[in-house]
Amino acid sequence: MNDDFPDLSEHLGGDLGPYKGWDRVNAPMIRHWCEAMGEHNPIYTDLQAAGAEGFDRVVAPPAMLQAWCMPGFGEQHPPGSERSEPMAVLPLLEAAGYPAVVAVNCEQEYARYLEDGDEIYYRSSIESISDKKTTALGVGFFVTQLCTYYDQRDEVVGTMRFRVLQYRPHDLPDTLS
Amino acid sequence: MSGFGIEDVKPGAVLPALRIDITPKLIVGAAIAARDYQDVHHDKDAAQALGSPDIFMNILTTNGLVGRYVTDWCGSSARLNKIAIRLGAPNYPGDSMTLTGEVVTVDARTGRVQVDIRGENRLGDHVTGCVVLTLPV
Repeated sequence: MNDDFPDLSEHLGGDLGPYKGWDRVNAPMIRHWCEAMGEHNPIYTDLQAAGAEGFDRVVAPPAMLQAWCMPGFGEQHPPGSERSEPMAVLPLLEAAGYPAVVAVNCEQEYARYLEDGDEIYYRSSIESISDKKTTALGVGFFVTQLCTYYDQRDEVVGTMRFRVLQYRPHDLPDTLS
Repeated sequence: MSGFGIEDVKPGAVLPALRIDITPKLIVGAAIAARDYQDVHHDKDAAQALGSPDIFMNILTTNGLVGRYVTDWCGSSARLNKIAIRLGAPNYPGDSMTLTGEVVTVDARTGRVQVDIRGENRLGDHVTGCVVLTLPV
């Protein structure tokens, strides 16, 4: 393999989107999440409890941020969404001999709580790509995606930084690389 | 209002530990509730084809459990500002994860609190990280 390869700088940055959600923020999906997570914070399911905390409607658990814009069973975003793959650099690395991927970090920041009725979409950029690193798992590249989530007024409601390591495992035979 | 105010929290305070049994029902049910249909979170054959011994918990669920863990402790007046996690050993069915946490910083003026958290299973740390939240001042 050529030591100079790959030049990944052209994959930095970008502003892909919108990636829309199939459903507005809604009470049934919030309740299903709370059921599964064992979540009993009443502001997520009880209008009165949400009202006592200053909200007009029930609010979503902040960690649901990513869930609102998931592609779902059909593995695609709704019509009107960006169609290109937000992390296109990963399959490129895979083809270049780094076939394995593992999620390393996930950082979500919340500008406000999402309320029943909010309509959410996100835009994606590649914030950083590391130099080639040797890790316990293998040799590869750390890639950080920044997803910025917006509401129906195009105001930022939160961000998510998602960092993965795309790598060649140490025990992978050279013939496969 | 219910839950802690900023005066109720001091640096060094330790959150009660929470043990969560990692069942296939939790892994699959929570992945679907999060709209995550990646096969490694519900299809054992698919997970094994990728070198994993079994299905494993998705990241959205880990985030959801961490958020729940912190507000279980401090109550519904808290506003979560940030959940930042580092992922480690997977959560496989049949294991359990014990979440622990400690308050590291408290800003009495702004109400801003940082809690460091850790979720350990029998393989090691599934998750380490921090949650930043704001309590009423």
